[in-house]
Amino acid sequence: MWDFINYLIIGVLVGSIYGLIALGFVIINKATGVLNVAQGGLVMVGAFICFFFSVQLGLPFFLSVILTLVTSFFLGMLLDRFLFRPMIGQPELGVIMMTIGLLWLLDGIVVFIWGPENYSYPKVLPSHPIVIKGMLFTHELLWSFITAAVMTTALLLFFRFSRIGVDMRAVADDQQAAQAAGVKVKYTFSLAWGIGNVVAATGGILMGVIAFVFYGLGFIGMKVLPVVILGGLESIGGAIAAGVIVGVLENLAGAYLEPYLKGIKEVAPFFILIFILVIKPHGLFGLKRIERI
Amino acid sequence: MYLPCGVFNQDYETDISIFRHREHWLLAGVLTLLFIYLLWTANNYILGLANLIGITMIAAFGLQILTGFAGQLSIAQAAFMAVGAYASAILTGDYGLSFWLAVPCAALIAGGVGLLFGWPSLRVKGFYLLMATIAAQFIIMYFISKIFIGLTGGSGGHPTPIPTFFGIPIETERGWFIVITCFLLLGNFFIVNMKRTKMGRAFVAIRDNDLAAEVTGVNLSSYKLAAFFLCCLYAGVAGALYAHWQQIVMPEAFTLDKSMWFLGYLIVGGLGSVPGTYFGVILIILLEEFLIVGLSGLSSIFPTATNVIAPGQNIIFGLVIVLFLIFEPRGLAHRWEVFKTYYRSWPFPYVATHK
Repeated sequence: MWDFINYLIIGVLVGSIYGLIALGFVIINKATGVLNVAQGGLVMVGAFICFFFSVQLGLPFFLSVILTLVTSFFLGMLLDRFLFRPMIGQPELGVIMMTIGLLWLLDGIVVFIWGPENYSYPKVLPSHPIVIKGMLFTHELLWSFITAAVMTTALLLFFRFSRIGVDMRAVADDQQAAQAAGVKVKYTFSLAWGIGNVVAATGGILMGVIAFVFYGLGFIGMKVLPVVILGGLESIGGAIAAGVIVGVLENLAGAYLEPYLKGIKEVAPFFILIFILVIKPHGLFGLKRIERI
Repeated sequence: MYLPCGVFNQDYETDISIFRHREHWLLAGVLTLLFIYLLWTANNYILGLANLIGITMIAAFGLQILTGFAGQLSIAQAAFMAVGAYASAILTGDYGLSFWLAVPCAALIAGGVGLLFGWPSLRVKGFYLLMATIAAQFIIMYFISKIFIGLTGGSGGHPTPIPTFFGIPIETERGWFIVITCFLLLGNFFIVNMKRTKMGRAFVAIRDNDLAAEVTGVNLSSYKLAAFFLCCLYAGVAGALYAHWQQIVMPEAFTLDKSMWFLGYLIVGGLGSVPGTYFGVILIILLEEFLIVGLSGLSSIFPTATNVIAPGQNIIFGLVIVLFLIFEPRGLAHRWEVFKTYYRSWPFPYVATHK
């Protein structure tokens, strides 16, 4: 019984990170309409930038985290300016292909610079696990959960109350109307990319703290796609809820189905994905678009 | 369709014929000469490259039907190829079926799997469909490499027997070059004709606006499934050829990356264009090959040069996609049309209306 609860809680903790990464996807999609398949690539790049600051330059870990977030913000703006602004008004396939091209580019550049090895950050957290009633939790996982929760709350408040957040929602709703009302649409786009990339980099650092910093983080970032589909492409709350659901289901599948189906943990999110698409294609909280000819 | 001056549709036969005017025959002649020249003189390396291009082309044709004509995104082409490859390997290797029977069977099996994973396309489209096919890629490869190990040989791969043609074994690159060219011509003939049948036009209608197509009487669900079936039929043939050409089939040959490449070929070549498929596949595979050869050549000066082949491929491929999308979103096929118009209207370019 305690085993089950242990798996459940670890699933929630890991799922909160999935939710955070999915949040980056949702922010970019909400404001700019770009469906960013390269979110996993951005996660990986964020983790490696932090590795660069903290290990290769030897800066203190918390300083390098802040530097990483600032760098990621400007990187996101650059991506928007040079890759995605020319794609405004292009068909959906073109924009998606652009993100796939970006994924390849990021993947190639990271492996080119850092190679296919596993790296890890300097230890800042105590390495002994926390034990509650025989259930084991690592400090890393717990702190990641706290970070993800704080970040998510901050973003929710930001979108709800700040001027820029309201601008972003206006642009997402109707670009032309927003522009007519005096919202700087292009500026909002690059801001959305900046924030989306900061969120992705945070996810990358958390992933790097829990496991390793390696190029496979891009693949782990792929798991964000089932999450956003389950939560609905436009819903911030949905992304978090779906992240937790996918994390829990994945962890339970890994714990209980592994003896029968080898390696099920890695593909469980994709089984969930197919299932949702057939049952409820627009996710739990997604908008159902009405089309007119 | 734009035709040069002096070409008229005077009877049905000329209207439906594939070779319409002098330039078509010229092109056919040049390609035949190229084929004979390659067959006669090329070494194994060049022929191997040509075979790889041919097999990739067949699978890319399938995706061209699904994505280029019918407008349904799919990122699982490599997995469907894997289904064909393993089906053919198991049928010939374990059940002793002839290669010539196994290829159509493998194509049908791949088509059946395609129907299964095309099922979500009845409810969703665009990005959602892309996600469904990514899931298909992971699930198919998971079943092949982890679950049905007894059948497929798992990560060790499944060997395939050498096929024979009336007693002549097909094992050299030269022999495969002939076989693959025949399959490629067959596939090309079918796709060109399919584009102008009722089905092909229904596909294009669905691509341009699926709701409007449905209103005008196109049966959306059956045509979408038909597009998936045809796409996977091509993938199955390509996979079966690949399996026998390589003499062993391994799961590593059919990764998600490979599936993404197929979409890349179409973007670079031009969506919905048959010649565009040729341009895209040939350009990217040759670029890749130049990169490998160039970096291997450099390794005598810089010993670490071979380490950057894999990331270098990713960077080059990503750059090609990104640059094409920014500067020529209609692909090389559009450039080809521009060139043809220029050629026809020369020396009076202002006559040209076809942009």
